[in-house]
Amino acid sequence: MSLGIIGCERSGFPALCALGKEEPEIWDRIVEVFPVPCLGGVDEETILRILLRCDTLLLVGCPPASCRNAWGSTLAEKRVARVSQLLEEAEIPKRVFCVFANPNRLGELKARVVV
Amino acid sequence: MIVGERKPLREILESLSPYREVLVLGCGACVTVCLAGGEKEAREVAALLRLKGFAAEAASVERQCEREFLVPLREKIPAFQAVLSLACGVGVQTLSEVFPGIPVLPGLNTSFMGAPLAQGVWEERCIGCGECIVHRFGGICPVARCAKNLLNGPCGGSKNGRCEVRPDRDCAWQLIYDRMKALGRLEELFVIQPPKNWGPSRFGAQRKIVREDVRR
Amino acid sequence: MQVALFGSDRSLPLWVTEELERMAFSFEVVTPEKTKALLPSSFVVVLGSALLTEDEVAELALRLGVNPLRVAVFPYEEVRDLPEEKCRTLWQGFLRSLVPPKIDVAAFRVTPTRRVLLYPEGDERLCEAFARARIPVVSFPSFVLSRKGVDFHVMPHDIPVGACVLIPSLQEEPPVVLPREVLDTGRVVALERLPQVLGLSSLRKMCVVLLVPSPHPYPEDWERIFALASLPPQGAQVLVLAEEVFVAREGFEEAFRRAREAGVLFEKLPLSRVSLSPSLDMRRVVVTYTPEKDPFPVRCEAHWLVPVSRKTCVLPPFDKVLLSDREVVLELPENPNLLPFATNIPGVFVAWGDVEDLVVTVSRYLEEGSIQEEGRVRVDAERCALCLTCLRSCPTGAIELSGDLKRCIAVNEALCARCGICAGLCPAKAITFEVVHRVLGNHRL
Repeated sequence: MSLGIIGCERSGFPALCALGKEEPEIWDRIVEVFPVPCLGGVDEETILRILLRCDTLLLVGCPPASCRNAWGSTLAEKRVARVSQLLEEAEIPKRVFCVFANPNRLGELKARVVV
Repeated sequence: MIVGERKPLREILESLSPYREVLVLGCGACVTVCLAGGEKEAREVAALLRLKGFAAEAASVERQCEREFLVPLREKIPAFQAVLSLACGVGVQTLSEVFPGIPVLPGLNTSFMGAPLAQGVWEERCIGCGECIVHRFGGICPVARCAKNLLNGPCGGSKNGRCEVRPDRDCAWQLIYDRMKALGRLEELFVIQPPKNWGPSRFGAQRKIVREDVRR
Repeated sequence: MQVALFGSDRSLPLWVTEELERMAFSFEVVTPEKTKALLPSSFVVVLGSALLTEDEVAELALRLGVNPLRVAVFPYEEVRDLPEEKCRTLWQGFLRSLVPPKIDVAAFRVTPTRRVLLYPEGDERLCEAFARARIPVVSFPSFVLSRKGVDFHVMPHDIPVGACVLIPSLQEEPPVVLPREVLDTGRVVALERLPQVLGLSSLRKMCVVLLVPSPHPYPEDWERIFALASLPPQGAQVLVLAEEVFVAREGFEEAFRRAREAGVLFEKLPLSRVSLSPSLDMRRVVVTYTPEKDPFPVRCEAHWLVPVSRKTCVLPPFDKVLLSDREVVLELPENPNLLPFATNIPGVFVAWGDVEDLVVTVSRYLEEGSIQEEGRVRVDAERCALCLTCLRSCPTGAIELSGDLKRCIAVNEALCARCGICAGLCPAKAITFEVVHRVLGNHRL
């Protein structure tokens, strides 16, 4: 199962690098990595377009309480919920998840990335 | 502005099932502003259709309800088997009049004429009755905003300023009363309103305006 | 294209140099000792860690004398231990993303005017503290603020100020309604007085229960609560019933962990689920509560009950004073990534807690400013439908209605945090961030 990752530059992307250092084998599954300034700016179209090239897409970003842009992570979470619903409605067997992580808090990301 | 809502995806997919090459056409006017059928939504639907195996493309025009904006699509349209229009009902019909040779499918339910209250919240304000009377009610329209269209005072069922039919909506008559009180014009509400003439409303026939002075 | 590789690691692996040559980049290696002779047009690639902050990168750019936009960080430290092939792919993608931006981007440093507006006027302690920090202070009973770049302008006097400090009023109320009988036991004590009270009695087998409401009390209160960690080792039992534990401050998370390790029990629950009654001998308070996780009520007898008051900070009616193009809703974000005392509007601070800390924060904001780039955000006037979605959703309030014609929104570059939220929400796709998506994989967005 191929994995795409959109990570915010503040938390998500560093977290991915930290996890990659810990468990280098994750890189074999990851086919796409996109660093973005904030998860709040990733629109539905981008998500769906990346999904064309992978089975699962993870949006990795700051926990909502510490998002520098106030509601960026919250917005991403809502958007992911909406896209997931769309995918389900259209019966497309691909999934999007929102994962909150930073280099000191890898648990959730690890659970999603490491098999 | 006209407020709409995208049709359930399942319904769209069902109507598109006979076709493969589809153009998703957004409209740059009202439905863009109400975040239902602009360029962004068109691209989103197209991306989704591509995931579903369609050869979909997205485009958007300034206003789908005017022929002049649609004419530049003449070269583009024949490459597709169907057009999914994300405009309001007016846009969909203009589109199918301009391009009679291609099936035009609606992707949006046209909901009402309203205003945004906050980011992501829209509420109806006008039903287009054809004879505006809001000045008699402190600028609040009882025809559109009272569930029972009452013109001569409230029904008596409102609770804490909320409508008894839909408790999450404000009672229009409470708003009218508060507004008229603030304006010091309460006594105007004692004037008996005659029965409303629904002739100019949509109950007559299809409405039409012809202005000879500007007509060519 | 010229690339300078910045890093202390002199023996670079082959994949670094080979890929550079293959993509026809000419390059040189720069180390912290040897930083001279950089062409102004060259790019600097820092072979560093993904954990380098924006400030560190900006500082480096300043030291090397290059445009900060031309400095890019490759997470070399994280990547170098990977299999060579993977490194090569990541490095390739990274180099491809270095192609110069399509639009002209000018980077400049913005520093706000060194003057602070206090509202409402007349707080002597604050005025003195600012005077000591040599920051001029202005105050007016009523005014209109408008924003020009990073400064506020106080109208009608047209005085530029770099920051506004709002002085809130404080409202205190007990966290729960304390029944008369409970008060009669004489076992209810304020948090400030707790150490004195405990100092007089033996701590062995003593049970202290704290009721902590949300919105959270002042940070000083939490400092006092976390300091109770010294009690359990002496034989006392400490139970904190809190609606929320506040750890979003430097050192608090650590203090919270230490308190828990020392044996202070923290239970998160709505205080409405706590009931209080006196014990039969009227010398203790019986606290009964239902924890969130299991449905069985827990009962304990407290020798001391500490209700921490619910303190809410009521902001002055700032939105009525601040009048420009749009309505402003002021929020107090409890976000560790933002400056303390800051609000959702950059440059507006709220004076609560320690005055000295506030002055230090404000003066740092006024001195440091930030490196901004102009021209990164592009608004297509042809497409803009003026739906104002961006204006309503921008976290820093950087979107403005431009000029008199109001045909198109404008972005205040000095305030924009380049988060891309507006571009993501724009229904007409009128806002684009040219260099926002840097690509690491094999594809370009």
